[in-house]
Amino acid sequence: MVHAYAGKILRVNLSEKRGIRVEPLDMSFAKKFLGGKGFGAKLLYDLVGPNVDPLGPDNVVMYCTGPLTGTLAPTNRYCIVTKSPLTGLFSDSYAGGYFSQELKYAGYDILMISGKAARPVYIWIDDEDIEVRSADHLWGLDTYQTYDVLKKELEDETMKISCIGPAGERMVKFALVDGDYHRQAGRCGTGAVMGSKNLKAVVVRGTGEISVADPKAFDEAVWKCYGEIRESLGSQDYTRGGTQSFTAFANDQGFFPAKNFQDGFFEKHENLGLESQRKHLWLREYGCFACPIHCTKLGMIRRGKWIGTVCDIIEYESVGLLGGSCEIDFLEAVAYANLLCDKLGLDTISTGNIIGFAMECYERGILDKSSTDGLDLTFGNWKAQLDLIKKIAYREGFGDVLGDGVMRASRRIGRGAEDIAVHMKGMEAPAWGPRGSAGMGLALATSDRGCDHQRGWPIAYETGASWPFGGPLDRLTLEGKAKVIKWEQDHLAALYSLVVCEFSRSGISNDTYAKLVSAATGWNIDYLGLLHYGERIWNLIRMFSIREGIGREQDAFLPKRFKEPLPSGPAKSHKFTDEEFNKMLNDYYEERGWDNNGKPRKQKLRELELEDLTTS
Amino acid sequence: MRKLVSGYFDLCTGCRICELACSAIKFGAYTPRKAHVAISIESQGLRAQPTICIQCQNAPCLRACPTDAIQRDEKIGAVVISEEKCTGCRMCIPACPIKAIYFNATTRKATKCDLCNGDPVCVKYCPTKALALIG
Repeated sequence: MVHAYAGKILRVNLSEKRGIRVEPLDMSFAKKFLGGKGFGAKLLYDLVGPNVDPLGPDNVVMYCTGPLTGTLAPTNRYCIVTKSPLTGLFSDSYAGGYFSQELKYAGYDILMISGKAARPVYIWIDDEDIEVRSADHLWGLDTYQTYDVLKKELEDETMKISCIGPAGERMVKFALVDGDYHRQAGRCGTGAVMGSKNLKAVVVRGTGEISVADPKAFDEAVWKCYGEIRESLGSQDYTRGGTQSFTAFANDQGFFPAKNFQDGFFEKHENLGLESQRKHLWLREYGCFACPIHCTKLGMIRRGKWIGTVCDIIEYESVGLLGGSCEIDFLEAVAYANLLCDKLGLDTISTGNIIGFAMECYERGILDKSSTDGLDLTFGNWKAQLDLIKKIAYREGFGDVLGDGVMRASRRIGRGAEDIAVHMKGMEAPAWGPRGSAGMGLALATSDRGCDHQRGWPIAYETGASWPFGGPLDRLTLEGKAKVIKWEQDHLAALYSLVVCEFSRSGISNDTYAKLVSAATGWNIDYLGLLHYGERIWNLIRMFSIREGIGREQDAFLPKRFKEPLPSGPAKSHKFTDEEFNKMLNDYYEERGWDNNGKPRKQKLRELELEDLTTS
Repeated sequence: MRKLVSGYFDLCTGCRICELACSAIKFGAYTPRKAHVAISIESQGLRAQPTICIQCQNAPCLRACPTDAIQRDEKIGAVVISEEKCTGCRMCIPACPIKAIYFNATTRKATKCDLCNGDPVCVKYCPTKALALIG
């Protein structure tokens, strides 16, 4: 009997009339790559070469579950892997909610979608009954409308739905995949890949069972998690205020992306922060599947023109980009913009970043009303932001230019716009301006999916916390940063392969994760073993990036903004220089066992049992 | 004597830990759709409502059962099903107005919350005390 896994892979080729295939999950593959990110990395490496257009039929979208998915292990998420239309690289995007568990209960560890349907379709998985159905009637609907229609049509309120909005249909390069209300796999443009396949939604109902190898040990590990979460101040912060404790922190420390990252501090940030949201929006706590932290806060807009609208917490990232980066401090407008992005299917991080960029272009005279379809893009103009969100989602006029992402838009606009586009490898920067944290600069630059904060967050260790293999670090020194970034990346790659939420790190100890996975699978994996998995997966993805043409030149690219001195805060006047940055990169490549151009050395690949890649 | 697990929407976060814990006890595996407690999500998530047998004083399932397989266990305070006596006729299932009695497709018998012999696991695992044993 298979434990911890459902034991099957479901492949759907939308180009074929009878394109549905169910295959057994190869357990040696499972043991080598664990799940989630690891599964996706191996399959994408094998299936999607450098000549594959991310928006062409040969790209694949994979919903990958992990060995803990569907069990009591705290914090289950879902993982979607594809080749990103935004970066052209490996991309993995995650969301909480209830979808991936259902897929596993239906009997599948992985749902792999390839090809392209001739007409809009959705995939309906009812345990072993799988159908590709027409979605002509769903095309054009927003995500919430899609849920309503599908639940009515399938006569069941309890099925789990993952879908795209109009932005995905129009292949906006940062379109997201929505997973039931309030949960989005936001980054990398996964929604555009679904749209390119004419795939509107995946609907699942699963009634099967997932067992663990050692139920008693597993239960003990689960209770250990509960205890650690209860005792942890970090977890308590998430329980009390979700990601909102970060708004004050980031402003105090100078990391907030104020005015398209011009500064690290937004003087009106409190209007968008924890106390303001608690007072004006939140009504209750909401948890993802199996999570006792329940960081999400649900609420209702209770002032002004959107009164009565149900809304989610405005997460820190969305406050940073839709709010701070556009200099908007009108709480309800940001809550509504956030909801609009969810419904239309846009990543709030990329969307906020790119609107902040357009506003700076407008301020500098690079753009005027003649090129913005008459929109007044003055910083702080929330009405224009809402209009622009719709234009981007529907790719209308100026929105069509922005819909290709900030890198391409800035090139098309020209006249110096490229200097104020804040991205790395084509991915819009998240709400952690790295100036003031040398480590964060390196983390963003070496993240596998482009400019991203969820592949390493050394800010914690640069503002007072210890890490497992050392004490706190000075925020501006270069030495020692490579080591901590490598550990963060390996650690998170392992967690993303178990497909747990990184917020659970606030409480659950490293050894407890290892206990969970060992008891679930019956394999004896300690924390160092988990890290080894993480390192293997990270290097495999690096080989994918190398094959796509990534090397030092791309890693070392810094947005011009990060080379300008930070105007305020505790790290006032800090900036990155190419020379210092390359020095950190040297350390990082060395630490990783990669050559001078950032390619994993053969010895490293052998050490990670990736010998088959040594010839490429 | 009557005891019951009461579920409160104001504290329920919709995390479904109760469903997982219940299914693990009853089926030896995680299979929340078979659990004897069910969380329904309404109003775009603003309401998460646990539904669980209230161990009726006047129990429609008990009255509908043609074989007297459903009885009140006075010691535990629950309405319980005797597996030996249950013929799997399913008369009890539509009789329950809150849909808190289920049919187990494997054993071909009716099944429901029996308060875990007086110490319900759902209450024990619930992280927010949204479930409580009362009575």
